[in-house]
This record gives sequence, structure tokens and C-alpha cells, in this order.
Amino acid sequence: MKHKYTFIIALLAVAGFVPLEVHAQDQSEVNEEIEKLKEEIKEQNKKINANKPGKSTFLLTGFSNLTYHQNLEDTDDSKFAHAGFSPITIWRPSERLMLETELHIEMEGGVHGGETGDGHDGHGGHGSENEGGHEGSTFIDLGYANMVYFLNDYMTITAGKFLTPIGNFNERFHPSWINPLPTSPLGMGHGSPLPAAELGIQIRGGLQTGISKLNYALYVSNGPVLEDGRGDPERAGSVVYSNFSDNNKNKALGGRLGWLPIHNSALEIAISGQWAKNVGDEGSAYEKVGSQLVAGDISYMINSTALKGVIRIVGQYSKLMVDDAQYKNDSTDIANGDSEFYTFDNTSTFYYGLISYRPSKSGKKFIKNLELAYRYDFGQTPSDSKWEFADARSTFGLNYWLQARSVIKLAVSIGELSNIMYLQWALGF
Amino acid sequence: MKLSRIIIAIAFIGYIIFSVTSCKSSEFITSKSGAQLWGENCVRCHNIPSPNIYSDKQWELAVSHMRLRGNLTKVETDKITEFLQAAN
Repeated sequence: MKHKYTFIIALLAVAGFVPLEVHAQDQSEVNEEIEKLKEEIKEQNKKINANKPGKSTFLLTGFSNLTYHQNLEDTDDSKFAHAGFSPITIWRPSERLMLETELHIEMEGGVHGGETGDGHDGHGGHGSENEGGHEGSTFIDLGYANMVYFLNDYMTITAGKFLTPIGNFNERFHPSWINPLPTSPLGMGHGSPLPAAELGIQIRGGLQTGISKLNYALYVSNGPVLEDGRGDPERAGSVVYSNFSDNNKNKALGGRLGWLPIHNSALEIAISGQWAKNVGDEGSAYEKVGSQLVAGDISYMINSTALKGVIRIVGQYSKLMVDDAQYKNDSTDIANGDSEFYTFDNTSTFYYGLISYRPSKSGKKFIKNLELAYRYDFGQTPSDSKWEFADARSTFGLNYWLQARSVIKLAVSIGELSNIMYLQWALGF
Repeated sequence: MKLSRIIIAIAFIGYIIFSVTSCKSSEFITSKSGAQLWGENCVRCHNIPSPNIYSDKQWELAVSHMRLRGNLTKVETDKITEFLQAAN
């Protein structure tokens, strides 16, 4: 019996230990596999973390265009007049901080006022002769470089070179893929008589007041510089906003106040202005000459099912007043019998009204991509100045939208000075 | 011109005081959806591209840029961003 029990115990032991040994071997292999997987996960995590975006974020966007120009009164005046590329960078290192910049890189085949669709040189003749240095060459300009701090829900502080909040075209409609016509209104855009961008600091924001909304912008900048004629007698009395060297201690104060009275924000009415006490060179006879710029603007959007599309109506009226001063005639004028000094009412006026219609709710793809646009614009500089200029244009446009931000524009501009047909392809990216 | 400057200065100061003291989101605006605010605010100036042209992170930047340009409030900005990210 003793041997019998011993045998049974031995058999159980063998039967039990062998699978236990095999099981222990399996577990060891599984553990090894787990360790290997852990290592692999660690490696993969390293790779993922290497490409993981940080809190700081960056976006490259912008727009580009190519414009063809055909003078309807001179068949020889036919050319690809302008190619522009305007990259916009937006960098946001934290929720409250942001930096936005815009560059204008442009090639111009000729200088014609208001010819480019990105708001550059929309002067309509004012200053065009002096600013024609980049004809046929590549021109690079810093559109804006604006450091932004979102102070609270309703107020933002910016510092740097910012788009001047005068009227609505400059800030809202100057990119070529937004402007429904290939040209800027007379007097508006970069390098034009009205300010496009200035150096300074600004506070701005918007807030809801019941069903309506209000928005505001208030800024201090270097302000304009008076061309007093000592450098260029032909420009005496004009003010230049694109000159960023401050020629005196005085700073310009400006702002815009907008009201959107309708519950769906379709209508905006705004007033804006800039006051500069002194625009002449410090220590010169023109030191006390000041300038005032006032503007009013309106925009209205109708998104109608009955009209099967969107109608936009926008307009801006701007008046630039520079204090009267005595400017010196050059020796040739004096020899021709003119007096040594002359003066004039130094007031310039620029305005435009634009209406566009896009049947975006049409059932037909071709029709829904079409857009019709019409703009009347007017510009007049002081009639007794040496840089006198006046023009009024009617521009008719037919656009075809390839995408939401890519459009081919065909436009005919009938003006007092010239009649021009434009063909432009604008692309936002 | 001096009077107009004073009027403008008073208007701006009053406006800023009003904006600071009314730091409470209007019920009217909070009742609107992000899609509605997107349609109302963006179409005023330009066509609205498809939400899938940017990533979620890129939309945060693009809408912040438009907050500045279009003077949008933070509530509007956040709602529009959330909508675009959800639709992306």
C-alpha cells in the first residue's frame, strides 16, 4: 500500500509539474513580448512627440493676382500690367497674443492709378508720377506687421504697422480675392492719398448691445508728412502717409466707430477720422500746418432666397483737409510771371459706391458661380495745386468664381481720363 | 475742429467705459449658433470657404485674425471656431 501511494504521488507530481514548467515558459515569452511592445510604444511615442505641435501655432495664408490691361482708346496700350503675391502670416504663441504680417510682392508693367486689385497704388493719378519708380520692376512692401494682445472679450491692443481704420475699403476689401473689381477705388489702397497703413498703437473691439452691435478702433500714429515743396515743388501741399519717419513731435489721433443696427449684422454704418495737429517739418515755416481726414462708410448685405443669391452694397466717402499754407513757386514759374508764393484750398475728396450680385443659390452650377459688379468712384485733389487731379469712373464687372477664394474678373472702366478693360485672376490661399 | 475733437474724444471714452462695464455676453448673441454667426459675419465681406480647407488648429488662427479685422467679440469668435472645427 505504501508503494501504491508513493507511485500515485509521484505520478501526480509528474503530471502537475510538467504543465507548470511549460506554462512558466509561455509566461516568460509573453513577458518578453510585452517588454518588446513597451519598447516599441516608447519609440513610437518619441516619434509622435517629435512632430507634436506646441501651443504656439502658425498659419500662412494670403492672396495673389495677375491683371491684364487693355486701353480701349489706344490699342497699342495692351499688357499684363500687374502680378502680385501677398503672403499673410499669422503666428499665435498663446491664446491672447498674436502677430499678423502681410507682404506685398508685386511686378508692375506700368503705373496706372488704381490698377491693381490688391489695393496698391489706388491713387488714380495722385502722386503716380513720383511713385512710378517701380515700373517694370519687382516691388516689395510691408503691408502690415501688427502685434496683437487680446486684452478681454471686447478690447484688443495692437502695436506696429497696422491697416488704418479709415473707411471700409482699406481694412475689409483691399485683398484682390475680396474686392469684386480688379481695381481699387480712386484714392484708396497702399501708396494712395488716403492712409493705408500707419505706425503706432491701436485699441479696438466689438460688443453686442441688445440686437445691434458696435465696434470701435482708436489709434495714435506718426501721422502724415507734409510735402512742403522744398524737395519736390510739384507735390507742394500734399501729405504722405506712407512716409514712416516722423517729421515732428506731434502724433496723429484717429479712429473709427461702427454700428450694426440689424439683428443679423447685415448693415454697418461707420464714421472715422484722423487729426494731426502738425504735419510739417519741425522748425520749418510749415510746422504748424495740420491735417484732418474724415470719412463715412456703409455696407449692406442681402442674402435672399427670393433673389437666389447675395447682394452686397458698400460705399465710402472720404475728405482730406490740410490747413492752408504759402508754397513757393519754382524759378521757372516765377520767370514766367507767377508770384513767388501761392496758396490754394487744400481739400481732397474721394468716394465710391459699389453693388454686386452673385446668384449663389441658383440651381445651375455655371450661373451660381457668376457675379455682377458695378462701382462708381470719384477722386479730386485741390484744383489749384500742382498735383491737381480729378476723375470719375464707372466700372462694370463680370466675375466667374472658380472656388470660394479664386475668381476671374472681367471689367470695363469708363472714366473721364481713360477707358480701360481689365482681366484679372485673383486667388486667395 | 476743436469741438469735433472733443465730441469724438468723449464718444470714445464713453464707449470704452460702456464696453468695460458691460462685460457680459448678450443673451442675444449667445443664443445664436456658430454656423449662424459664421454666415452672418463672414459673408458680409467675402465668400465663405469650405470648413475643410484648414485644420482645427489653423481655424483658430484664421478666426483670431478675423476677430481683429472684423471687430468680432470673443463669444462670436469662439462659437465660429467651434463650428468650423466641428464641420471640418
